[in-house]
Amino acid sequence: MAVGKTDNKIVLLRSYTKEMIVMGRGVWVLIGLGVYVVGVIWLSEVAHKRAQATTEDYFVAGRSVPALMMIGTIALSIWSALAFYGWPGATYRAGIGYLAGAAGGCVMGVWAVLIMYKLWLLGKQYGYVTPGDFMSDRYYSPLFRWITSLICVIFIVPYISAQIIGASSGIEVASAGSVSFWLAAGILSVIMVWHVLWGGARSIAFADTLAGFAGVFITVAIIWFVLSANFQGGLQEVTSKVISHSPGVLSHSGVYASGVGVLGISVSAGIAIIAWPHIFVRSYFAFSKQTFKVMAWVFPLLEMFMFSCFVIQGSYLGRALYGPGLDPRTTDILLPKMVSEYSPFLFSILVVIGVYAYAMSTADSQLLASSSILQKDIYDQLKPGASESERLRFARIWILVMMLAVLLVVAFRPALLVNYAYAFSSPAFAQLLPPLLGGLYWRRATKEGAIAGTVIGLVAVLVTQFVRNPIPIVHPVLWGLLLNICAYMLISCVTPPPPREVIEKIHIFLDKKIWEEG
Amino acid sequence: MSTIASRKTRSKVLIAIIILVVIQGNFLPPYLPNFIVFGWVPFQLLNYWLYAVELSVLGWLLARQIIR
Repeated sequence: MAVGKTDNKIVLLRSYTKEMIVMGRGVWVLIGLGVYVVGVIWLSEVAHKRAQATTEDYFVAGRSVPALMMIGTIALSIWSALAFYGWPGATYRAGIGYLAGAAGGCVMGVWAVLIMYKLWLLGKQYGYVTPGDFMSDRYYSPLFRWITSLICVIFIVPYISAQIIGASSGIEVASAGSVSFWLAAGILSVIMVWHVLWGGARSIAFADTLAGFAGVFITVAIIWFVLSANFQGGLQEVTSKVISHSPGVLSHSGVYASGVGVLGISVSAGIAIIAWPHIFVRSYFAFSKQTFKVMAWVFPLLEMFMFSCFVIQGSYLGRALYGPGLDPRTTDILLPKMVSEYSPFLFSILVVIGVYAYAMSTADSQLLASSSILQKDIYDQLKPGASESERLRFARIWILVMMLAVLLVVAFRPALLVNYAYAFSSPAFAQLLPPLLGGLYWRRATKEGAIAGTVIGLVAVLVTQFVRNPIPIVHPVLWGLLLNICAYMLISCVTPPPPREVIEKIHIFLDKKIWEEG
Repeated sequence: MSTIASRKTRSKVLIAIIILVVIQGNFLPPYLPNFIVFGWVPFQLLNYWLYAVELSVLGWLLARQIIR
């Protein structure tokens, strides 16, 4: 009887100890997160002190962001929680073929010269702040401004949701459940809204640069530790282990075994990035043209380095440690799972900071971009005489409204993490790529062509994504772009050419600036 | 004037080469051989790294022509 009581006490003690350890993990995770959050708050405060109370300063940082920060803010607006958190899982499932998405992203270096530089020149000259500013001037159409803005605002909501889901799941897993999903989502949402409301674009650019350094360091540190602690033979041992049970992941397999499959993901996750609203508006941020020169060569290397790290985490380490047996939902939490099971607890805290930094750096940019679009493209059109303070108040209220819409999507969580962006948001944003490129390089492009092409492309994306895709290997984004480009070119050719003043305002101005003035 | 013309021509040539490189990295990879290099890098993965370096060099050259 006495022995039985002692046994019960030991069992009870063990269970208390276990609970204490789990609670301790939660506390350490919150402390780690707290340190990063304090850094972000400090940056917001610095940005706020430098800010002027104008919408241009609030939305595009007064066009004063230097080259290093521009690269940081663009890179981190692309590398979101989807990258830090979703990509290891996606490359675990799909193998190295998934890197095609990053290959598409490398094109951003070329876009910096061919698109962003031109948008920057136009933005400086005419005070552009949103994608709709350029589109409505080039296509002499308020209707096309509305279409552009609605696409940007509606399809950005699930993308922001993906950031919150990614970060909150990461924190929940890393803290062994002691910080709940909704507590983490609440902290992230409150800090993010405050950060955007208080500091605006300048604060976001500061925080993105900080997140960039933190994220790259954490990603590399995780690979180094998991690899050296678990595989004495290094990557060669990992490779032979992976080849023994999952040779397909180290080659282009499944959807990515065909060129069309590869092209689909590279356009959706990479080449079309420039048409994502929060990336588009960054063209207006730069202080000088040197930024675009640096981006042209730095970005492809940076993009490929970072995403190759995610491939090593997913296709190599993930497959070597877990074999081929993880179910898709579990692969969505592959990184924190791997780190919590195969490395010291300190790395779990680093994962939390990394996922939080990546999620926030993208979500805050998206939140600010959508509120600038709502203010400039919708509120200003409906109420042209509004004062600066009224306009800023409207933008800030919309940030709160958008955040509520985002949390609603988070509550339902209808898809796998990467699907929010690459299967839904990005294909829709990509429909703005033909009118963007055509608007800068094709003088014959007309508003009728742009409107018809974009609407047809968008309908094609939605039908092939949600109703029926006649050839499943062809990604919806490709169907959309194919029909979009055909309609855009055909209708532009049969409708009256753009007015002379539009050509002078956009094309002749750019030619003069680039080729004559240098 | 002739400088502008030659800058424009060089830019067009570079854009044509960039299109070929983009095809190398965004369409061709599944059709490439896939032998293992250095004991752990499949050639299809190495191709992506080479592609990024090529794009970086071409981007730098293009920026030199267009952004003065």
